[in-house]
Amino acid sequence: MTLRVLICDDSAMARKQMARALPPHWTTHIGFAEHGRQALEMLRNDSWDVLFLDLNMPELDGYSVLQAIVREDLPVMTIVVSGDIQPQARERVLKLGALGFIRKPTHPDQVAALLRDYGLYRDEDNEQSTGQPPTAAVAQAGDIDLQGFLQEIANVAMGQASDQLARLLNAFIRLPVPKVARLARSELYMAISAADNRDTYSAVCQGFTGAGLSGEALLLFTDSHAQELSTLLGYENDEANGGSLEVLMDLSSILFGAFIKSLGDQLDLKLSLSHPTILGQNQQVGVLLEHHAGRQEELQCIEIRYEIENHQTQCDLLVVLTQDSIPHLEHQLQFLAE
Amino acid sequence: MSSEDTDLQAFHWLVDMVESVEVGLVVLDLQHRVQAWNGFMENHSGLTASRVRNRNLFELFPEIPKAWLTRKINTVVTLNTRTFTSWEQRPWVFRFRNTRPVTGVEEYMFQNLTISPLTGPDGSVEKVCLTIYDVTDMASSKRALERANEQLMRLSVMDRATGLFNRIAWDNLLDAEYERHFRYGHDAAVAILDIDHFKTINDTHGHLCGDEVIRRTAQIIRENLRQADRPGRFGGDEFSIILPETDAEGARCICDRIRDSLAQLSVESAAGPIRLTVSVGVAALSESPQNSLQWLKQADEALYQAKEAGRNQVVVQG
Repeated sequence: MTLRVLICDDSAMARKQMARALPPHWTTHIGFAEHGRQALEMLRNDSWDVLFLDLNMPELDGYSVLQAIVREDLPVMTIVVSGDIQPQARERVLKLGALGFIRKPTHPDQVAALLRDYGLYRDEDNEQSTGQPPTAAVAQAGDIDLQGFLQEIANVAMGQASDQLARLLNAFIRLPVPKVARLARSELYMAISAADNRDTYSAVCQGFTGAGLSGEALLLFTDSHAQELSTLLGYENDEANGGSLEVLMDLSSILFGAFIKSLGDQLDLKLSLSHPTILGQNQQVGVLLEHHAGRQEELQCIEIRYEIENHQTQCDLLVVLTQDSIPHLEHQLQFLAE
Repeated sequence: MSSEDTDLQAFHWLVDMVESVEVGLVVLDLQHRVQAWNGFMENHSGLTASRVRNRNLFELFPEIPKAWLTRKINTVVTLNTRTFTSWEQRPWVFRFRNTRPVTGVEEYMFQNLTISPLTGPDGSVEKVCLTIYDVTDMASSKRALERANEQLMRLSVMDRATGLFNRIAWDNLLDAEYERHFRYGHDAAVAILDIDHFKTINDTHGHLCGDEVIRRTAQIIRENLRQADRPGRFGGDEFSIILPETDAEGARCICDRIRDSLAQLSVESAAGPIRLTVSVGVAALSESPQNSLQWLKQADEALYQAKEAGRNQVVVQG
């Protein structure tokens, strides 16, 4: 059996991982798209049998691609591949016509099992086929740089953390594309891109350390959102006094724990967490982040804005890695780039 | 030594470490019954491990906020994740008395708490571990620092003798009030108040009595103002007041009331009671001043007119 497979993901690393996870000797042709718009164009111009589709992408996200496929009646079987593992995300894409759902990071066994379930792949294919091994196609998936590598790791970790958050709040969390940037220590406040100068923020931070990798996670939210989050968490009004602090500590425990664990798992590290500290309450972002700037150091920042659907509420997760962590990350990247 | 002996010995060391480590370790089952209780907990609570074993934590320590801790524990169990609380949320979870007679300044031990899930062989959460950290030193120095900063902040804006705003702080407030008017068009008035013939009081009764007159004047000004009004010591025997959301008529009314109260004031001295009168110049903010200085100058001119017209009166400009 020979199939034409299209892999659509904004991350070169994720495209590579997906191509690698396909059963060897299975397909004749693998194509790659970097965002939803490109995938749709390729689907309209050519015939493709299977589409592996990411959800969180710039330009056009996975949900919109699924809708367009149904609307235009494009003949392709779509399997969603996403770091967003909230049960609701899965339900939504299946409703939109996706055939299956694969969690990131993708594992060959998981992919083979799903393909077998839908009769797209039999174990005999491996021996009989003369098709092109996917390893040759992997090279076409694009080059991964450190920023892209971090972005995809953050993407998966973000999904793990938001699943926990969704379960805690009993709400659907809308996930962004994580923003990755290299900043000087003194520019840290710029990492919170949409920070509003008129609003005041509260923040909590927690350090993490592992062999070769260390940094700090920060959670910030505007005080105008504290009340809404407090209600979502089920705090009664009489607790409202220490409310925003409780909310901050509850959310940070969950988000940091899940994010850092996933980060460690993906980098094959066991990361230990220090006790969280409250960075400040009811202050401007500049004040919260700036006065900690002392040394000259270049930091690697990951910013994620979690939006809670139907509640007009959001919080910013900022993960900052030390300069000393960069060699370790580059080392890990080499394994993937091969 | 057999490997079993080695294992046993390693286990013994581990237990020793858990017993002697300077953090509190408590293991609870899902019904909140105590399963483990280390030396730190024994020493600070006065309850031995054998006495608390299998007893409900909330019955043993009714002062622990049950709903609060139960909620945190439930999160740990359902999500199989660690959670943390800080002394800033609640100073203590276990109410342990301070045990340091010399260096201890706080009544109770400040605590940070970590709640970790403990899983059984099948991976499900069967118990939780509470780790209690003594953070009294950190908390008390942080609180002392905050108190000191607050005090510095207060001192830096206050006039020592009267407790009113000092000149620098008051000038800033006037600037801000002018800006507010400029942006939002709210009413505002500024008043300058001067004690009539204060030099004579000083010369006749001495500077100590003069100081007392200044203090009492400040007190009466404050008593006659509203929450949002901003009285300052402008210098010597001059006082200045910002009156937000106040028009010319309202400002006259307030300043007349102050003038009346001060006219009834009598300050005791060796040479008999001191009586005093004041003159007040008021400027309600209009479109004419280009900045806060010009606004203040209008009030100063009004004060000059009040003095010229025979003192003990309020003159309003604008």
